[in-house]
Amino acid sequence: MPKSITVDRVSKTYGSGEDAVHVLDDISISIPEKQFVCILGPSGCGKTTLMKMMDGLIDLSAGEIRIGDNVITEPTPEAALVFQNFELFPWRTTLENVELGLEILGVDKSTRRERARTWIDRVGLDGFEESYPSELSGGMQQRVGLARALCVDPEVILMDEPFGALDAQTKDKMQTQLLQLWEQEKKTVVFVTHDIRESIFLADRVLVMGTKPSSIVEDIEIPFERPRWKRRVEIENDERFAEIEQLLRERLGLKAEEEPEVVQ
Amino acid sequence: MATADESPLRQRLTLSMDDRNHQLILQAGFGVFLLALYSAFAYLGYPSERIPSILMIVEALQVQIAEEGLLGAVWDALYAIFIGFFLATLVGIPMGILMGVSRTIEELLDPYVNAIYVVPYAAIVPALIVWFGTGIRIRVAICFLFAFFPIVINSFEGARTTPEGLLEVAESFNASWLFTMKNVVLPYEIPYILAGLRMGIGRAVRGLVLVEIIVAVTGLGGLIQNWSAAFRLEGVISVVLVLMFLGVTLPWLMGKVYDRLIWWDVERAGF
Ligand SMILES: Nc1ncnc2c1ncn2[C@@H]1O[C@H](COP(=O)(O)OP(=O)(O)OP(=O)(O)O)[C@@H](O)[C@H]1O
Ligand SMILES: [Mg+2]
Repeated sequence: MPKSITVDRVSKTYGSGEDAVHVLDDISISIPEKQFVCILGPSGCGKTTLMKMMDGLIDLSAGEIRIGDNVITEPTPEAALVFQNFELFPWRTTLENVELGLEILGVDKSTRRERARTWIDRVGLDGFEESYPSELSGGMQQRVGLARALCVDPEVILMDEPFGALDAQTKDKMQTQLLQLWEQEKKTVVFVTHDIRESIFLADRVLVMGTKPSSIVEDIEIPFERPRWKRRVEIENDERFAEIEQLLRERLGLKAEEEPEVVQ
Repeated sequence: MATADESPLRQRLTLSMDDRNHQLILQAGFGVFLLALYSAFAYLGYPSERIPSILMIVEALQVQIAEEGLLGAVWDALYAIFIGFFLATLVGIPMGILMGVSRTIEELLDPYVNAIYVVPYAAIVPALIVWFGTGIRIRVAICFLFAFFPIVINSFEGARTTPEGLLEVAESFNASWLFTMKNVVLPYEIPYILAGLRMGIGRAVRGLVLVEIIVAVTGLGGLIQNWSAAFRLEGVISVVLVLMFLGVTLPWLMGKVYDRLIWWDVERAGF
C-alpha cells in the first residue's frame, strides 16, 4: 500500500562551528498517500538534501520524517530514490542494475530476474537487458535508474531531478512515460525539478522552496484531471497552465517572460 | 597502443598505422637501426677499442647457456620475481582496500607504507643478506618489497575513490557492509588493482636487478660478477640484456592480462 510522507519541522545544518551551513529551516510538509508532489527550488537550496533525508541517507539536525507511521532513521525498502545523475553501476548490465535492490533484499535469482525483466519492459528497455550503461543514451540510463527503484516495489518513490540531465525531447518522452506508469498504479511520489512546466504537467501539487536556509514558500494544487499523459498539448494550452506557470515563476524570483516581438 | 582514440594533438605526429603489423615493422626497424649504430661504434672502436661486437655478445650468451647455467639462473630470477610479487599481491591488495575504506586504518598505516617506498635498498641489502642469505630468499624479499608499494597504493586509491553516489545507491537499499564491499568497492577497484599489478611486476624486476648486482655471488648477478672480474664486457652486456628482456616482457605480459580482464573502464564510465 502506498504510504503518506510527513516532514515534521525538519532542519538541516551541515558541519558545525564556523563552517556550519544552514540549509533547511524548519520545513514541514504533509503528503497524503498516492499524491504526486513536485518540489521546485533554486539551485543549491537543499532539494537533494531533503530527498536524501526522506530516503534515510542523511541525518536530520532537527525534526522528524515519517513514512506512514514509521519514523525514518535509516534507509528502508519502503522508499526508493531515483538519483539526480543516474548512478548506475558501469560494470553491471541493465538487468543486473535493475535487480540490484532485490539482490540486496536477498530475493532468489530466478524471481528477481523475472521481476527485473518485467520492469525493464515496462520502462521500454526490452532488448537492452544485456547492455552496459556506457552503451545506453542518457534517457535510457535514467530508465534503468527508474526501473531499479521501482523493481523493489516501494510504497514511496523519491525522484531527484531525474530528467534534469536529458535533452528536451527525451525529457518529454520520459515525462509521458512516467505519468503513464504512475496513472496505472498510483504510488506516493516526490519529484524534484528545476523545470516549472515539468512540475505543472506531472504533479497533483507543487511546492516551492526558497533560498537557503530554505523553507516552503509556496504550496499549490494543480487542477488538471487525470489521466494526463495523452493530453500534454491540451493541458499546456490551458489558460490555467499559463497562470500557474506565471505564479511559480514569481515565487522562484524570476521575471515575467517577455514576448519576443515578431517582425513582419 | 590504440591509435583510434588518439587526441588530435597526438594525431598530428602519428603516422596512420592502425595495422598492428605496421607497428611491429616500425619497432623492429628501429631495433635494427640501433643495432647498426652500436655495431658502427664497435667497428670504429670509438670511444674505446673495447666495445664488444654483437657477434661476441651472442657467443657469450651461447657459452653461458651451454656451460654456466644461464637458463637456471633466469629460472631462479623468474621464480623470485613471481613469489615476491605474489606475496606482495596477497598482502598489498587487502591492505590497500582496508586503508581505502577506513580513515583510521589509512592514518595508521600510511607513514609505514610510504616508508617502505623510500627505504634505501642498496644500503640495507647487507643487512638483508645477514637475514636471508645470498640465495633465493633475499631475492624474494627484495622483489616483495619493491612490488608491494605500487600494489598497495593503487588498491588504496581505488577503494578511496569509490564514487559516493554508487555507495549511496547501495546504502539506499540498505545493503550490508559485506555486500557493498563485494559489489561496489571491489568491482570499482579492479582496474586500479590491475594497474597496481602492472607497475608492481615492473618494480619487482627492478628489485631483482638491484639484488643481482649487489648480491653478486649466485644467479645472474654471479654471472655478471664473473664476467666483469675477467674484463669480458661481452659477457656482462649479455647478462644485462637478459635482465632488460625480463624487465620489458613481464610488464608487457601483465599489460596483456590487464587488457583481457578489463571489461569496463573508469574513463568510459565518466567518473
Ligand atoms: N555534505 C555536505 N557538506 C556540507 N555542505 C553540503 C553538503 N551537501 C550539500 N551541502 C550544501 O547544502 C546546500 C544544498 O545542497 P543540495 O545538494 O541539497 O542542493 P540542491 O537543491 O539539490 O541543488 P541542485 O539544484 O544543484 O541539485 C548547498 O549549498 C551545498 O553546498
Ligand atoms: Mg540536487
